[in-house]
Amino acid sequence: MAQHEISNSAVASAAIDAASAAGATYADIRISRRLSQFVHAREQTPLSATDRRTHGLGVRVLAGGAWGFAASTSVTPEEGALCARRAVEIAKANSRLIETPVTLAPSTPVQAVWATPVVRDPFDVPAGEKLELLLAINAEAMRTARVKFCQSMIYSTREQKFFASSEGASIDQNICRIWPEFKATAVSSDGADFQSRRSLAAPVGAGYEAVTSLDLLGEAARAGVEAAAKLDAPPLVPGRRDLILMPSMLWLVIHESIGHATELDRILGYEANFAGTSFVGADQIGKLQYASPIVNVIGERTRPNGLATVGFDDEGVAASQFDIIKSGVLAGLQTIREQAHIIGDAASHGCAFADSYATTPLQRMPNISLLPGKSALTREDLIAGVEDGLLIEGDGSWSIDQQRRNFQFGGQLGYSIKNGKVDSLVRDFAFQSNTLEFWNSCDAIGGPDTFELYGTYFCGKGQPCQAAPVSHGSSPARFRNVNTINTAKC
Amino acid sequence: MILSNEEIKSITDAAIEASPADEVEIQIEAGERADLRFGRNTPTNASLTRFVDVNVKCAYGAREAFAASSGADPETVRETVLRAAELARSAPESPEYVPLLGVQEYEDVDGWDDGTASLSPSLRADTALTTIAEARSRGLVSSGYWENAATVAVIANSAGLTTSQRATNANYSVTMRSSSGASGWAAAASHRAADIDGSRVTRAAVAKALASENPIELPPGAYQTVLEPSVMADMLAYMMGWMSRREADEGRSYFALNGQRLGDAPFPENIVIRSDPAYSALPSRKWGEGGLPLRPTTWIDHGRVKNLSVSRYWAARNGLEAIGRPDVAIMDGADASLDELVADVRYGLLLGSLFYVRLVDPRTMLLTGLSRDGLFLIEGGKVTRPVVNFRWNESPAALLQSVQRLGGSCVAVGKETGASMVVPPILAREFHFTSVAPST
Repeated sequence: MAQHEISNSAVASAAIDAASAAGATYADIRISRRLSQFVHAREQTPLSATDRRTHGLGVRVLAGGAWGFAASTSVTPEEGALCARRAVEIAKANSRLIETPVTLAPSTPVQAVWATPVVRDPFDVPAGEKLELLLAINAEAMRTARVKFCQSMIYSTREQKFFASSEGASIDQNICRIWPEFKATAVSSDGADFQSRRSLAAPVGAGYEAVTSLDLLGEAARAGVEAAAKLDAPPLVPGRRDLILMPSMLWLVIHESIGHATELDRILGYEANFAGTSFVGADQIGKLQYASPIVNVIGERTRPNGLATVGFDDEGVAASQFDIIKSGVLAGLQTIREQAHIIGDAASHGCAFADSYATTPLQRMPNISLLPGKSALTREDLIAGVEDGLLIEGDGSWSIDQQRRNFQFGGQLGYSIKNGKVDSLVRDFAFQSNTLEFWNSCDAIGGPDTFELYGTYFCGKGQPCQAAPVSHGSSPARFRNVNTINTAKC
Repeated sequence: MILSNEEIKSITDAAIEASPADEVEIQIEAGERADLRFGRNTPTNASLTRFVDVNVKCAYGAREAFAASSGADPETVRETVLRAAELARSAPESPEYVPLLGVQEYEDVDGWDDGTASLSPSLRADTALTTIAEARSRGLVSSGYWENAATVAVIANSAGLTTSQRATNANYSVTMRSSSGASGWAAAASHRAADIDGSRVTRAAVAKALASENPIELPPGAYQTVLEPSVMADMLAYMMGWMSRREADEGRSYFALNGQRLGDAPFPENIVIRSDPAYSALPSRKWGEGGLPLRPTTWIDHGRVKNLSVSRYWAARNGLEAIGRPDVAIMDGADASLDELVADVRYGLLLGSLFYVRLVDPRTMLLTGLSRDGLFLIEGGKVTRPVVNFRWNESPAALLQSVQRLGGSCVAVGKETGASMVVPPILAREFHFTSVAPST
């Protein structure tokens, strides 16, 4: 029988039964059928499209209080059972290393289906149609004389993810995501300088309609002009000044300095050998003045178009919403079933995610967003309150330390602000700060009408490293007296 | 699953037979990967994965496309070939199309070890147990990761090219943290798991953690700095990625700006960087793009930029020889030990490993990142005190220009990139630390 014709339920039953027979006290299985397509172009050159399809199963067990996991690209009842027995063997080998057995927070097992709302499946759109759009984007950007290069791509994924557990859960999800992107590069006439401007379009949880709803040709034309303008822009004069960060840039600051810092597995030390730990303590909930009182941050897996939006996480926990920062104070942490009890929570916040059939679920970020301000402030209102400042649009170079304190961020476009008005485009800019000082300097957040969603397809964490998609929304926000640097003079 | 030679031939023959396209190329990567991860002195996950990845390229004239699948059964291989062919049939002609390579000769690379291929879960647990027991006995908290893999990689095409390479690899890394947050890290990698001394890695991480207690805060600035091999492995990994002839010729690379050109000598005379897939201490993949053989190559020859990687398209267009980018670089060292490099420093820093490194300016290869798990003050030729971590902004090119003395080369693992390279520790005239980062 071909793999495609075997029911997921039959494979799951074989695996879970074999795990129990081998001595597992808990078992779950994920069967993943994942499609991805990468279409790209350089200038007016179409580059080869890549269409990838993976199909595999991963069985996770608890035996002797320790985890074991085995995976295979052969999706049959026999292979599921073999993986289950191998996972139990691994768990038993590791059980002699543990002092405290793994404890799972309760989760109601459900039988459910969920799918990303999609108008037009990206995999029904011919690669030629996508390529035509990319070549048009490149042509628009290169209408500006000094723009010599433009690369563009559309990346889309669709994953059918089946989850079943020994507790009785059986969940079928169909998750679709898509990302159009381009980068225009201008070269100075003497060949001694080049500057790039990357698109601001965000990856989203949606179908191809998310691409066609954007004015990518209009943005490409602007990006070409702006890349060339950066060649002539004055360099930033370094010093402390006010910042206004647009949502296309602020998402990355939220991601790095709030998202990762409030991951309970990092706080506990699970990531100490790789991604790092956190300056946040598990005992600081309700106490730590993380940000100014106008700052409210939530985690959820329910927002339309969110990259982390699903019906259930990879432990079968239903998607929900929870507070992370409330009125500036740390209010909650990201959790999965085996860690929730450590901070006294009765249930997981549903933050488990594995990036393929072959990887174990880790605690990963849900969508984490800064809520809009209560008044209807606009971008211009924020600018009006700045005497000497820098407005940044789009994310650029970034780096943050292993406990999420010290950071440095750049951007795609920087504009100096003088006496309440945008003055000029500047280049070679970045800012350095540390998390608590920065977020406590936030004195204005745009209103609900200015809220926008951005994010990343590829947030890295774990060993072996896994890439998780996650969105972050915000309105423009203002931060006072931040250290800005000139990156050409570092 | 490790495929036999007969299975490989059966799959590649079937793929070529199934293709309706003018040209077809099939690449297979198959094998088993196993790992054990621990944190808080306890195992957190452990896995075993059997995998097969099949990648197919089909071309009709200059119209080409790729398809990939996770299975090598006849039905999946045939479906993948037909999908690539269908995509290629509807693709526009690519101006960057190059024909398939025919039969090639490759370096003889020995990177397989039976013991690594058959490592049991118990042996991985034994290593972790040694580390965890050491941590518990010293009141430290350990975290770490053991990974081993056995793989076979294959490339074959309708022009007659066919080759394969069997490889094993293993790596082990450990982080030790004290109750005050002092942290130390160490790692080792080899294609022979038996060559990885878990106790030695553990002791090195313990020593760094204990030596990092009560760090002093120093002002940011440019310091004379001794960089340990892990730092150089990361720096070299980044720089090798940008040593591309096309980007240089197009004027968007460090190797095209600031007066640097192929053949120029921007670095000191003692800087030699080369690659050799058959290097016995660190064997690596013997082919690159489309089966292009990777030959022993000198990239920086006594300070002079001797070679940049050249894609097959760029080579064909410009009448150049195609030069593939290697997985592993070898930077020649000298005979000084790390202690001897430290002894040369009156007042400076010893930098052990890097974290969160990102490109800031491609024109200069300027990177930003942080020190992590071991930063120490050197006074009067001796390591005297731990130092609170810094953010740094530095270019690997500027760093090589700043080299004052080289140590002996060894296999090292970059903490940030995970890349294994053959690199020496170096003494640099200056390394630019730009702000204090009080995290441990």
